Amino acid sequence: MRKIVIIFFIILLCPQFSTAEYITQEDMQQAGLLRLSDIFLLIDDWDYSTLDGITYQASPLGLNSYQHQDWKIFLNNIPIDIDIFGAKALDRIPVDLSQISYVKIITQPRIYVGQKTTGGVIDIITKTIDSGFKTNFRTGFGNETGDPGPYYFTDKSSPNIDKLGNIVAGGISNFQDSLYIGISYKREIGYPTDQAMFYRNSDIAGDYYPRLKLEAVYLEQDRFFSDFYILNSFGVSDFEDFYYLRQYGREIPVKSRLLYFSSTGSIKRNFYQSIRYRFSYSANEPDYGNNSLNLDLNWKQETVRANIEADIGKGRKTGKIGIGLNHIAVSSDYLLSQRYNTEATVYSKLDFRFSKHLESFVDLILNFQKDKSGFFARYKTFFWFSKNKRLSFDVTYDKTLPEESNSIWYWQQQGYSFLENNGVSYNITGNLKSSNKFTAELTFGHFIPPNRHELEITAYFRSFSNIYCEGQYIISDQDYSAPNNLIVKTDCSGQIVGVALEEKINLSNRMRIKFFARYQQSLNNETLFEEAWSSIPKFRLSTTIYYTPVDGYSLSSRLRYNGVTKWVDYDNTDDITDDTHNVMEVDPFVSIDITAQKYFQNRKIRTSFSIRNLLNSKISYHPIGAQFDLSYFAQIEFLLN
Amino acid sequence: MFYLIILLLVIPMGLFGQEKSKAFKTISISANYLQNINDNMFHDYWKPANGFELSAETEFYFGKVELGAQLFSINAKNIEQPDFLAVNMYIGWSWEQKLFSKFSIYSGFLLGNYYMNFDENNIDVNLKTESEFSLGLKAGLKYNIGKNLFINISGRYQIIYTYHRIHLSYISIGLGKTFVTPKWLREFLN
Repeated sequence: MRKIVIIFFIILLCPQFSTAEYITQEDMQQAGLLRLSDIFLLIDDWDYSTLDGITYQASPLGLNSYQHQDWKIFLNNIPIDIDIFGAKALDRIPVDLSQISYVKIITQPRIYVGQKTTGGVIDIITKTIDSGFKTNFRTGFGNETGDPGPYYFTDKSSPNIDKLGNIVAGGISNFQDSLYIGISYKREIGYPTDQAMFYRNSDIAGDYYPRLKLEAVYLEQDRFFSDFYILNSFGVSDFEDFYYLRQYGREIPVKSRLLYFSSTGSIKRNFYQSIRYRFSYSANEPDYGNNSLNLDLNWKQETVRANIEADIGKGRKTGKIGIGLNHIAVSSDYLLSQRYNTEATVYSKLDFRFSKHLESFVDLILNFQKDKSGFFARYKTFFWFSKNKRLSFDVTYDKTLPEESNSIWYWQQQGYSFLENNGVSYNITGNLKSSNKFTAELTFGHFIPPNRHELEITAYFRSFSNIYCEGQYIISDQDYSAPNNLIVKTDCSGQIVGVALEEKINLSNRMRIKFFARYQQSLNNETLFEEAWSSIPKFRLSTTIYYTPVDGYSLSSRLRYNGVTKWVDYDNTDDITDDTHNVMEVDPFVSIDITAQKYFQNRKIRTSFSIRNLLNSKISYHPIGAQFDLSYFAQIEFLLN
Repeated sequence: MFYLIILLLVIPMGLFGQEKSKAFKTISISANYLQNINDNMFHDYWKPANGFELSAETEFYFGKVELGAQLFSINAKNIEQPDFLAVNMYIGWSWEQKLFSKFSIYSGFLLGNYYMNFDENNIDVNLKTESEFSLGLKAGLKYNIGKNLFINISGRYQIIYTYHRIHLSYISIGLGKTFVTPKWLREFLN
C-alpha cells in the first residue's frame, strides 16, 4: 500500500500528457556515459555545439539558435539555475550520473511544473523510490588518441594530447519507514585535448597547467506520508573551468560555485487531486580565476523560484491552476543600475477529453513585473483516427520580457560592463525589448503496442520577432584569442521550418533501435538572423542500438551524422594548424560510438568500455573548438544494495 | 557501410551464441613470447619490440574473452631517443574452432591501453609516461599436449594509436594450461 501511495505522488509530481524523450539510467550505462554533460550524446532531437565536450550550447528542434540559450534545467521537477550568461555546464549540477533514474527531454514550448519554458527542458530525476540501504562507488577515465608517444623524441614529434579526464563518484542512500535520505559526491578532472585550445588556455592561464576541476556534494531527503509527500534537496558544486564567453571570443579561467536548495511537496485532496508547492534557491557565483589578462567575471546571481499549484476538475475536464514568484538578485563590483528583478506568475493548464478520439490541452501563463507583463499560450490537440494512428497539432505564442533572459546584453544595458572594461567594443542598436515567438507543430504518430514500434513524423514552424541578433567580426589572430567588435541588433525577425522523423523499434526484450533524422531551413530572413542559424546543421541523423544478448552483458552503438555548419563570425580567422584562412565552415562528420558493459558478482560490480568516434573522423562542432578524435573510456562501479 | 558491417558482426554473435550455462566454464592461463617481425618507421629509431605476454582466457556467451598484459622492453638505436618500457593491458575476444581432437585454430581482436615509460630524466614529468589506445588482431593454433596443457602459436598485428600510428607485427609461441573455473570465480564472473 505504501509503495502505491509513493508511486501515486511521483506520478502527481510529473507533468502529465507529456510527449517527451526519456533517457534512462539503463540507457546511460549501456552507452558508457562518464559524466552528466555526456547526456547530450544521447539526445536525438536537440542540436548542440561544444568547444570542450563539457559546456554545450543547444538548439532544441529550432526553438532557439546558439545565441539564445532559452532551454531550462530542472532537478526533480524543480528549476536549477546554472546559467552563466546563457552557458550551461551540466556537470555543475551537483548530482552524479549514477544517482539519476532518468532524464526527461522536452522539445515543445509549454508550462512545465509552473514555469514558462519556451526553449525546451532537461529535467533530471534522481533515484528516490529504491527501498533499503544502497551505496555505490564508481571511477572511470577517458583518453583521446593521437599522442606523440615515443616519436616525441624524434623529428616526427607532434603536440601532446592529454587525458579527457577522470571521475570519482559515490553515494549512500537509505529508504526505510517512508523516509529516504541520500548523499552523493563527485569529483572530475579534465584537460584540454586540442592543440589550439591548449595553446589558447595555456596562454591565458599563465603559470599553471590548464585543466577542469569539479567537486560536488548532493543531499536529498524525501518523506512519504499517507496523504503528504515532501522532498528537500541541497547541493553545492565548485568548478574550475575555462569558461567560453562567446562575446569575448575566447575562454576565460573562472572559478564558480553553485549553491542549490529546493523543496517540493504535495498534499492529497482526494484520490485524483492534490495541491503541491515547489521552491528553489540557486546561488550562482562565477568568480576570478587566476589569469594573465586579469579578467574577472565578478558576478553573483541568486535566484528564488516558488509556486503553488492545485489540480482542478474531474472526469473529462481536468487541469491545474497555480501562482508563482521568480526573483533574481545580482551583485557585482561592476556598476549595475538594477540589482534585482521580481515577477509574479499566474497560470492554468487545462485538459479536455472530448472523446476517446479527441483530446485538447490549453495552457496559459501570465507573468507580471513592476510595470510590464509577458505571457505564454498554448493549444494542443490529439486526434486518434484509428487505434494505432494519431495526429497532433501544437501551437504556441509567447511574449518574453528581456528580463526573463540570462543574456549578457540585458545586464550590459543595466550597467554590467565586463566587455567594454576588457577591450571589447560593441554597439547595441535600439533598446532590448519584449520578443515574440510563435511555434506550430503537426505530428503524425503510428504505434504498435505494447511498445513494439513507434513512428513519429513532425513538421514544425517557428517564427521569431524582436529578438536580439549578434554580429561578431573576429580580428585575425594566431590562436583565436582576440577580443572583437560586435554589433547587436535588437529587432531581428525570422522564421524556421523543419521536418523530423523519429522511429523506435523494440525487436525483442534484447534489442532496441532508435532512429532520428531532421531537416531544418530558415526562411527569407535578415542577414544576422540567417547567420546565427547557419551554425546549426540543416540535416542531422542518428541511430542508436541497445543490445542485451544475455542478462548482465550489453552492447550499444550510436551512429551520428551532422551536416555542415557555417560560422560567419570566424570568416577571417587564421587556422593555427596549417596557416590557411577562412574556417567559416565546419565540416560534416559521421561518428560511431560503441560500448560493451558487463556486470559481475550478481550485478554488484559493473564495468564498461567505450570507444567514441570509432572511425576516427574529424569531429568538430565549432571553428575554434576541439577536434574530437578516436577516444576510449573505461569505468567500474561497485554497487551494494 | 562500416556501421552495417559492425551490426552484421554483432547480431550473429548473439544469435549463434553459446548458452549462458557454458560461459566461464574453464580458464586457460598462457604465457607467450612475442617476436617482432616487421620493419617500418618505428624501427628507424628503435630495435624490434620483442616482449612477453601473460593472459587468461575463458568461454564467453559467444566466443572467448581474454584478459592479459604484454611487457616490452624497447631499446633505442640512437642516443637521441630513449629506451622505454611498454606495458599493454588488454581485453580481447576470439572465436576458437576445433579441427581435430588435439588441434584447434582461433582468431580474434584485442583492445588495450599501451603504457610507455621513457628512460629519460631530462624531460617534463608530464611527458615521462604516456598511455595510448591499442588495437590488436590475432590468429593462431593450439595443440593439446595432454594434461590440459597446450602449445600456442600465433601471428599478431598491433596498432598503437599515437599521432603517427605504430604498426607492429609479431609471431608468438607459448605454453598454456586449462583449468575448470572455481565455483566462486564462475559465480563472480556471471
